[in-house]
Amino acid sequence: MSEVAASYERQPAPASQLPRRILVVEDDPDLLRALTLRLTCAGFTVYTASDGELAIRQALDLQPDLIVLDLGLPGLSGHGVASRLRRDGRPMFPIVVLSARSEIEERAAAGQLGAAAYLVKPYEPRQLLSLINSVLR
Amino acid sequence: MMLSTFQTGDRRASSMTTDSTGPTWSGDDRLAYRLLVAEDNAHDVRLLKLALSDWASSAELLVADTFTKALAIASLHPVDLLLLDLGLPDSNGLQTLRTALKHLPDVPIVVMTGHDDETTARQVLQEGAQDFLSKRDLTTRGGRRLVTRSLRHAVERHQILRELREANRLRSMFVATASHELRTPLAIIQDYAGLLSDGTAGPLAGLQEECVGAIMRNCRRLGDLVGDLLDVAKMESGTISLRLESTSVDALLAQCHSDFLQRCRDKGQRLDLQIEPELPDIHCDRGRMMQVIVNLLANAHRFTPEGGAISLSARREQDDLRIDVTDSGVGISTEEQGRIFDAFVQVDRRSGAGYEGTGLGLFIAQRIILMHGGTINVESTPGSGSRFRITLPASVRCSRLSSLRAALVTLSGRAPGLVTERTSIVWLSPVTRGPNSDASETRIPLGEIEATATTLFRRHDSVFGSDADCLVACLLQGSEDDAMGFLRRLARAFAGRSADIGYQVCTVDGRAPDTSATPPAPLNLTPLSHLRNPR
Repeated sequence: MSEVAASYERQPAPASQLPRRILVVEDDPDLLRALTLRLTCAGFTVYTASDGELAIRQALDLQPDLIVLDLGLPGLSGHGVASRLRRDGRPMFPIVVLSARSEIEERAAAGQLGAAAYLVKPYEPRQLLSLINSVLR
Repeated sequence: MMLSTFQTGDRRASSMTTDSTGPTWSGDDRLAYRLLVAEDNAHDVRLLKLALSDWASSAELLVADTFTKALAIASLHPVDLLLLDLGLPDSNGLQTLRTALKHLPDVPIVVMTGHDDETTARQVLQEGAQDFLSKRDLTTRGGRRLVTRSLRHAVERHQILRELREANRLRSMFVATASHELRTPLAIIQDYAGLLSDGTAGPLAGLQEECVGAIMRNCRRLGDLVGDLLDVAKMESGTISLRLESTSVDALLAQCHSDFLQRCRDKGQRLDLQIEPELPDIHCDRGRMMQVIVNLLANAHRFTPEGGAISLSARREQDDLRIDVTDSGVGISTEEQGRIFDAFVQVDRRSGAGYEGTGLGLFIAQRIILMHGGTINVESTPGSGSRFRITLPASVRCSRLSSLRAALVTLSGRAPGLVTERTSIVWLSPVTRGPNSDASETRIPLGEIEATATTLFRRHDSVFGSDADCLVACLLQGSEDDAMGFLRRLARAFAGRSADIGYQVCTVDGRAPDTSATPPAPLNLTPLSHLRNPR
């Protein structure tokens, strides 16, 4: 992670009081790494999970400020994760959904899960960051 | 229960099938299927047997002399076709057919009556019968041939339709899967190239920067291509839907203009924006409408030489909104103008930048505009420029859709927010108008619209479940007969659904639809209030 640390120093995060701990759930290791690099460089503390079960354990243990969730996970799907991470019918964490599908129905289903935002792959990194920032704010 | 089974021909036992997989045809072209005849006249049954033997066919015939018996038999034995007399002791007239269609949605029905008048024939076919036969046909040899052929074709047609539906379903599934599989690796490549190009992964030397730039550019191109291919696939399988919202024309065009301004300046082109003041808002899918305009601007940019002029303008023309993209480019020959909106057509224009486009842009643009109830056309003079014109029925569309939305809210008895969240509003317009208000109308085949609607409703149900309290509204504009027939078939396809499907019929000439012709109790198909068409 040394290169990340170096670039972090190059691009210091804006001195804001925003919560900055993010759990990224993505089964593709390359994409997970890219997301981690992006978010770390933007000044976030990033935790990762590559499957649904692990995501739930991580979320409950670490209590992140936000979860970036891929819907197409093997085994327990992103939908499953989101519905398990609810208390009294409300999502316990703000969720930004990342999906390869753009169909309206998928969006609507994600909305039902209580996702705060929805992003379609391939996403624009800048758009991802501004979405995350606006959700956290 | 009177149930008589008879067989013709001596080899039929080996060629007959009675399972539910549908009829099979033996090598010598004999029929091998189970036919249910609802007919109380023994003489007619005899003639029918004669008809089938005439044709050297083989079929198992189940005969019921009342409607109740016919339905009972059909529930016990899978039948390949129902031949229905509309004058049965316990059921009479069109209602007989409607009940049969409701109880046996997967059985093709051919109607046979003693009086053959055109009105009944038309009604029967509109209701959803496969064919209409007169008993008089049974009395001659030629007529009996006709009867047999009609029955056979009815069964075959039904079978083909079933196979087509299945093929269509598989194609939609394939498209959905392909979209996922292509987009994920593309996202990864683009993301890593981005990490390189913005310096996050360390500084780049001159040549490396150029290489990464090329990777990024082509990722975007591939992304566009994947997007275009998916759009076309969705359009062809009828699974595309619009998210309609009230949109300011001014803001929409201003955004397109500012997105393109720099690109045009880089090529020394002028890009003008002329918007008539106080244009009414339009109801459209903002993203899709922008996709269309950006596509037209990109074409204008590509095919206009350095120093040329491009303009984007909007104005009102009676009830219509006109959006023009005009350029001083190389133009399009008359011959090419005719096929420019077809899929995969790349018009060869000398100054065009080679293979930059996918050849799908204008095809998609036209479909999107048609889905909005508008038209798109081109006028061009080779050597001096082109003008692409989008015509949208502005005020009409707006008022209709807001009334529909209001009606939906009332219907659902819930907050307006719910309707936007969980309701698909499907805009189905069988009629699109030509560029001039009295020009001839283009009709989208009703079958195509039905396929679209059916697929959309199915998908909606597969997400929300058929008992979910969501509403699907379908706004029909067209001839009343078409609309009613469509609604009946829709109701049948979704019989048993516990949630609502709302619908709205608009007639083209402004008459109120005859609500007495509304299909009887098609379960949860709920009529909304009639919306007046000002035209």
